Amino acid sequence: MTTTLDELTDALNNLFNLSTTGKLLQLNSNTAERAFEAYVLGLCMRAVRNQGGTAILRGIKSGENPKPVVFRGGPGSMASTAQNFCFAYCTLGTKRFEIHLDVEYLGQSGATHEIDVSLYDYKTAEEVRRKGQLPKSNKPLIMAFECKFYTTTPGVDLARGFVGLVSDCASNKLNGFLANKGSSNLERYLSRANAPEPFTDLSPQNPDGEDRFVRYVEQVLRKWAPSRT
Amino acid sequence: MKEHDWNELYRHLLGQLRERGFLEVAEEVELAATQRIAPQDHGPMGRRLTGGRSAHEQRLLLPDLDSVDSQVPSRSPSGYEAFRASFTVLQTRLTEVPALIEAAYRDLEIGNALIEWWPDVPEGGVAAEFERFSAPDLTLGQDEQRQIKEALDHLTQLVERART
Repeated sequence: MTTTLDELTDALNNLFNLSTTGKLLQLNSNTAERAFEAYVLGLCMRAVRNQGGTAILRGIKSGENPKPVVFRGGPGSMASTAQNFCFAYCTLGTKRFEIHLDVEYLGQSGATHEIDVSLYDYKTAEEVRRKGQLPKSNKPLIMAFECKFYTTTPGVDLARGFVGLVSDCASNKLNGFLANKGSSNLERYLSRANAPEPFTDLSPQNPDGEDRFVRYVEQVLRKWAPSRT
Repeated sequence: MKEHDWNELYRHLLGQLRERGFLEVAEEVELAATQRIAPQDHGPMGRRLTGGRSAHEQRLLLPDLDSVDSQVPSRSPSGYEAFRASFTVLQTRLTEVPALIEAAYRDLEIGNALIEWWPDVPEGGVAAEFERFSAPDLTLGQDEQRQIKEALDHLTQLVERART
């Protein structure tokens, strides 16, 4: 039995008539991008815990276990107290560091860069907050991740922008381009020397891609923060 | 179904999105449906650029993949491919976004605390409205998830049947 155009049209209409469909289709792409970043923050926290460390959310004003949990809806300052913005406070071996979302950094060139997810040295972050400065993208910046949530096949433009960004940052342990979808163009672009590590199949619907990213972060953390025993 | 049927189905999908005011999704769908299809084997041009060279030499030869790709023969999508690409946009929006929030709750270890996004602007500053939302805007209850899944699965089955 073959399907007719009418049957397909009816099935599409049924999908559109669900109230939940409307709820999700009216979201703009910024919303999905921010959700993807929160998901990546969670994966980074999982990597820290898997390595025997601790990772706890803190609000800049309230401290540990903030309620509600507030993230930036757009780029902002690590020192901002405009809201009780949250970050993850982490310990691993002798190291203390933080994981931030959508924070602006000062590059080597003096240009300002927004990094979607960043791991940053705790003591330097405390100083940044005390002085109300922009954090610098030099040694205290441990890892930087560009996060892209695509609904269509991605091109290479956004990855190219991130390559420019990381070239203005010094000595990070890991730079990653994270996306829920890849394309052959993107993968070939990211296969070049000095390109960020590509994780272009990162989705909760793809446990293998998720595990690969978490294990990679674990490995970098393990080398950077060796166990004390 | 014939080529013109798939084209009509694609136009119907796009029309529904516009009619219901989902203009950003409509733009994404148009973008997805009009992307040219590159052949898996890049043909004589691709082979000439990369064949028989070391990885390092290939990188030197491929400094800018956009310009290389513009030389690789590609074609317009068929009606089926255009519809399929549009449908993928819908599926991604309807299933992956709620899954992101569920996964975030799992790994952030915050129990049932509300997650909110706020613009980072000083008090009295002007904020972009789209920078303020909360997790419930992106999540679905179990019944809602089931409804969406059933509707998408049904469509997928019909599409596959129409292809054969």
